[in-house]
Amino acid sequence: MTKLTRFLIAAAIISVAAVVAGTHPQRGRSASLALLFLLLAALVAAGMLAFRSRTAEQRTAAKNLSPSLATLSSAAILAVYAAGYHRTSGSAGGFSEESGRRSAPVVVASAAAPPSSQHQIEPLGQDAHTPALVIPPAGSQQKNRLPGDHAATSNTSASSNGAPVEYATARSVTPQTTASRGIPAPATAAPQIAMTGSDPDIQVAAPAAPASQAKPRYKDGTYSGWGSCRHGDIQASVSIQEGKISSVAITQCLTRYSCSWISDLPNQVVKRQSPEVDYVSGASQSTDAFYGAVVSALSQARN
Amino acid sequence: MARSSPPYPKHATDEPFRRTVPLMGTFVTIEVVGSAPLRCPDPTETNDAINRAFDWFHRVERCCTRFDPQSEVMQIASRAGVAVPVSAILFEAVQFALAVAVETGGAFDPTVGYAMETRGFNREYRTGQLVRTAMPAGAVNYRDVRLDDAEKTITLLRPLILDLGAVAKGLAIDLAARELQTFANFAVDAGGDLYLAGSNAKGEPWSVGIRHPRRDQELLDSVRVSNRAVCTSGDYERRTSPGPDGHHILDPRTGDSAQSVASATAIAPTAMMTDALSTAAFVLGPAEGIRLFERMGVEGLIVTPSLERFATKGFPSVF
Repeated sequence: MTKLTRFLIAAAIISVAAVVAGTHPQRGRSASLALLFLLLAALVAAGMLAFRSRTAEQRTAAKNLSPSLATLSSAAILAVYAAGYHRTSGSAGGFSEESGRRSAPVVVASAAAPPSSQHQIEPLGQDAHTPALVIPPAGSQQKNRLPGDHAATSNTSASSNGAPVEYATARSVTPQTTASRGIPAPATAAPQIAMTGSDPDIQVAAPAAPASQAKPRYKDGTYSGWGSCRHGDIQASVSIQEGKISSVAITQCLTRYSCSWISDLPNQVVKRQSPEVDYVSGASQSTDAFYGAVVSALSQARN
Repeated sequence: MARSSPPYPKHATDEPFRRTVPLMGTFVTIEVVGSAPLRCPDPTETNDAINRAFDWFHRVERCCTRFDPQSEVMQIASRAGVAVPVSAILFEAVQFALAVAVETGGAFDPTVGYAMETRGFNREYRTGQLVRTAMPAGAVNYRDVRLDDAEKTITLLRPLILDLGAVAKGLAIDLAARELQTFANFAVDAGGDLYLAGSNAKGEPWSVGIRHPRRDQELLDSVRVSNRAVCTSGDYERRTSPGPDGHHILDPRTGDSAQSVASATAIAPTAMMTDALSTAAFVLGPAEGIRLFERMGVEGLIVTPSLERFATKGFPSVF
């Protein structure tokens, strides 16, 4: 019921009361009747007020309810961020040691890196050593294409068992890649591997150990690993030369369905960079097997 | 923090920085776009910030993974009845997960970990090893978890495994976004769970496609967003081996895979919210899911297996 209708009802009751009071022959009785009516009008008016305040309360409650999760999540993020800030800046010191431009306290803090970073569930390692897929800006892709592109392809398939079908191949890309993008390569430029599908380039960059570090991160050789997903299993082979990842190839694709779906993997990534759409939500499908295979191969190569 | 004499060519700052790392069972991409209005990022600083952002993913994963018996969340699983002091990451993740459980009447429930494990979601994605935890049988729910806000402890009233999958990834994305907030324009993509700040390289709001739940190469819809997280929960990811209908989102109230939704997308200010609420809406079904979105003040799109669409009124659809 709106405010206006309630007001009109109250006004109507009051006027009826006034009429009754004025016209009734028995004055005393009419007076009490009028009083009753007035009371009723007051009740309606009060009801109006109560109704209003209740809806206002409800509205506020609804407003409070909806952002409560937003507030809670923001508070959670801040709490974790605040609690972990020093440790994070510590590892950041570790990250930037090679560039050697960090203030002293941070570098000292990096010595206290969390011990769990050595944990075996982190075969990819931490800090500066994390292998990375680098997707270069579209403009630089052509520049990166080397004439000897497909040499690595044949090498890799030869080094893996039998004559498996290749769905994606890779080649080594020198640190000039970074330079060609106009970003100066740091003192310890990262060796990168690029996975070339039919057309697009996904570069898997494995930043090298700092130059000061004598022992290379990976042992030379070719390693293969399996990954699984709902479609089946995929084998990837990773070649290491001079302690650096030189190539990656998907060597076997034992899936329930046609293996062609894996060839879309690079396409999907490129799609995210397409002019129409920057990113795709919910698009992690089919990376699982490839992911597991590469990670598993790299974990065998670790020194 | 613009330097007086930049050691790098000026155009270097106009290049987007983009790096992808395999993490949390998927590929995580962080992109920082061009010259930020807040300051002029130099490559070293940008790299450091991106490294720190990735480090949050490492830390959240180490703490919250179900697949490592040594992780903090698995360590508390066997200590039922004891108030265990926990890290800020675990405490906040569990606290938020419980709040969502309360809001959704248990449609979202972080205690489904053991049910997930017994349903076949127990393969460690890196090693392929199967995880099997000895647990007494018995139904558990979110009411079996108690938090002490003052002492920062978690008490499990019964032995149970917390599955923080939905919340932990969201928290990691949000922490990475927090780490990068000095850059106005950036994107964090953790396997299709996104946070998009500012604008893209063209200076427009980020354009985000929503994956079609049935047709791999098509988009269901596309939205333009800025300073928002976008997450889609679908029935097409990580199916379990036992049956054709077994996918990775269980209805905690029945213990079976939820069936009435093919994909649920949520858009909200934090990835914690989008991850948890899209999962909850997936379980609740289209009508209740949309009501949940509206009640929580987030935008959302839900598609049924028959491809019927349900969206909140303000859903920023481009199509």
